[in-house]
Amino acid sequence: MSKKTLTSIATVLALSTALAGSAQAETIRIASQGDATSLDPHSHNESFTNYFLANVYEGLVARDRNFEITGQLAESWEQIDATTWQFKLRPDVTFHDGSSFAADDVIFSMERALSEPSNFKHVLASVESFSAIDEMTIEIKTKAANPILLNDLLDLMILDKQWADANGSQEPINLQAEEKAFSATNANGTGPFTVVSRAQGEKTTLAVNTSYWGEVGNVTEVVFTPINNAATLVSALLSGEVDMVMPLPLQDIPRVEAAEGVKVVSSAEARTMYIGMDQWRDQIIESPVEGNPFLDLRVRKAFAHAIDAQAIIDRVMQGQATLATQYVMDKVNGYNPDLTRLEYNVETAKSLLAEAGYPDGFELTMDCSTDRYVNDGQICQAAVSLLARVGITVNLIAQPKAQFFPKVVAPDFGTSFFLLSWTPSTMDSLNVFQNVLGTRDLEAGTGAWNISGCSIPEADALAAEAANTMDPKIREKMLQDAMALMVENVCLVPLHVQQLVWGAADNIDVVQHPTFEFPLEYYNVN
Amino acid sequence: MYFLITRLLQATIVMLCVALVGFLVFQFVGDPVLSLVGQETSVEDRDALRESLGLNDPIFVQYFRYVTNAVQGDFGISYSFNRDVSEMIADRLPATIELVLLSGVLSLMLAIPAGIYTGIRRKGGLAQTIMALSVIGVSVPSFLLGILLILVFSVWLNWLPSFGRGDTATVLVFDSSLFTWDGLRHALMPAAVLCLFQLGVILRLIRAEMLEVLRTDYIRFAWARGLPGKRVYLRHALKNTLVPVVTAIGLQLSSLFAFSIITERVFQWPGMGSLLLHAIGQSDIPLLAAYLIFVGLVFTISNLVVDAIYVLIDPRIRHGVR
Repeated sequence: MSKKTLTSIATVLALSTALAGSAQAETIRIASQGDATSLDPHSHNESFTNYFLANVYEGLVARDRNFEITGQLAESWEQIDATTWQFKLRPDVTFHDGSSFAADDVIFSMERALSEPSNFKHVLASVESFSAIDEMTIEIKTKAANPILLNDLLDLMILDKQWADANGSQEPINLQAEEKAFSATNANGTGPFTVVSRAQGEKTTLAVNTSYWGEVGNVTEVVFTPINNAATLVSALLSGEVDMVMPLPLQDIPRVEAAEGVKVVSSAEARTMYIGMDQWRDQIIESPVEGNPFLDLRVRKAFAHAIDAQAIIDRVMQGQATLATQYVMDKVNGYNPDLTRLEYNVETAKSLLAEAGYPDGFELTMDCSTDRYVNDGQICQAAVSLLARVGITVNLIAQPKAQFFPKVVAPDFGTSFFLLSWTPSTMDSLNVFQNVLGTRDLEAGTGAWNISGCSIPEADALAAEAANTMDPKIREKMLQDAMALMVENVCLVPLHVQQLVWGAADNIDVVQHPTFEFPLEYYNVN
Repeated sequence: MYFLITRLLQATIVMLCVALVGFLVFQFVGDPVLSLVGQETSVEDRDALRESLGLNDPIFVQYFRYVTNAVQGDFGISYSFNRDVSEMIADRLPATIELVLLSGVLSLMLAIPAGIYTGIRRKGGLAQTIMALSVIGVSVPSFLLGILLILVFSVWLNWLPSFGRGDTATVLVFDSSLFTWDGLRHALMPAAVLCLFQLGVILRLIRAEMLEVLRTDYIRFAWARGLPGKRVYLRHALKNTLVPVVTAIGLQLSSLFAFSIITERVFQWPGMGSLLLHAIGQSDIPLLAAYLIFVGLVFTISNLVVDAIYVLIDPRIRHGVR
């Protein structure tokens, strides 16, 4: 037998094993720095938990592979009038335990999301009432016209009423309740994957739902392990013990790129980083300076000119971020493509400070978390040294998030200069106006995260109007105009939009969404 | 009996103090409510939750309530996991215990013979090598050692798994990963890292004590009586080094629980240590308090055991000779 024949026989053998392999079970092993905190889809509103559970539970609507909103448990919907919506439910859907899905499950889940211990009340904040028209139709009435009701409903997961009733899980766990929550450690959704076993913080195994109504890629089993230590996480990928890690620490990108059989997967995340400046106190805190320099637009502009965001991206973020021109990223509805950044220029910054009466700069304190965002502590250090070049002396308080957030959020807002970021969960900039940019009014529930206390009434009015405008074009224009007003007034100094950076084995087709979703039904093992 | 009662009383007071200190410290770990709710939760909802968790009560009211419940075995519900704290600890405890046991046994098996040997042949080449290696064990931080081991044995050689606990099997009533091959493969590196520090400390202590004792007169008399070396070293010398050595071993082994925090983190070992780190990150006060009390209990009990062992090995204590 010639050498050539041997080679071809070997090739045929290899091919046939490969083919046989693809018909078998395909397991994907995923490691992440955190674990889902609960299996109850209404108890913890934390992005990783939400998107992990989105593989098990489903909502009325969801994002498809291309990030467009599409029907999930609702097959179709129709708007009867400005405030009334009817949703036709998908027939022949069953929960993982075999019971069938119908309107009473949706009504139950909405009531549950509004119950006292739920963390998803905001999802239905615009809703006046909801009812079942028949077995397979539900009607939702909103308080006022709500153009982004579908976006709001994305995070509302549907549970089985009978299952919840039978297991005493009518409400997401109440912390004072003496009994443990069944729904925190067990799941029964309609999603493409079922929970086979769960040891919190250790290992969770999912199996494909064989009676799923939709299409699923070739993944039949998902083994999910949390690995908190970044070095261990990367080692597990490099040694082939896991197929995918998220997030991949930025400093390990070159290592993964150089290694055989693994790749770096990255795309823009919907999170915009920014630096905030106190615009509501008469006297800034933790600073020897008299009064509040930030009330002067020239000082805010000087800070924006002094902070070289591109340098921060190049050095601190290892290039894994894009410059932000405003307070949302380009995939968010309401993004204004005409806006530009104030360019980095030390001289402009210095002369603006001199005009404002601070020719020698001044001293202040900056608050910064060290374990919440990608390289947050280093971003602040970079900002401190950039500001030193224009004569601003910054005392940096870099602290763990457990100390940082209690200090800077409501009710104290105990900072005059800080680093923060926001992801609009609805992917619509109205969410940013309601939470971060709108004038702070805690009674009305707006601006709860407006830590800088910036207030532009004209922008508030535009956002309020946009909230009830159904025409998408007109509405988008309003939001863009409102954003332009905020940027002109340098409400915050935008820094960058960070990238989602994951590591994966070469043979895994990874689908990344800007919100950190990882819809496993679109994943394939080649 | 009197001895036992006073010891138990002391232990109770120690435990109450541990709980109190823990409670005072937790006032500074951050606001648990913020890690419990999402960014869109309203200020009123946050306040309502804080009130209903009893976080607005004076600290001593909270402390008293906690101790009353804890005495009845109820450590509350973890804020971040929504599960019974006692149940979570029961889940994680076996993993830590097997790691501590494996590394404890390993370090004793290696340290005692090596300590005796280096004490006797202190100028020999092998003894010098052992002493040099023990310096590494004592001085290299465990997280560094752990990552080095992962790099060599998992990434380069691909011999051992880099993280997690392996399959478990049940022998009698104990469900442990030490009873399976896969489990042992997983446990080997973390146990080795934990063991190395203990090994260095215990070895050096035994060696120093041996050197001390071997200089004493009664050892010379023993030699003069023509006793065989084995009898002199093991019966006469080693037995008299044991009191300080047992104290140190008792404390060292209970501190393995504390050291295991870092090792568990590096190897993603699902034990008490990783649970503690999670609890700190989430300001999960019930979990933190329970962990602290648990570690306090381990130290208290191991001290009680050490005291009891003294009585066995030192007749002077048994007979009340001062």
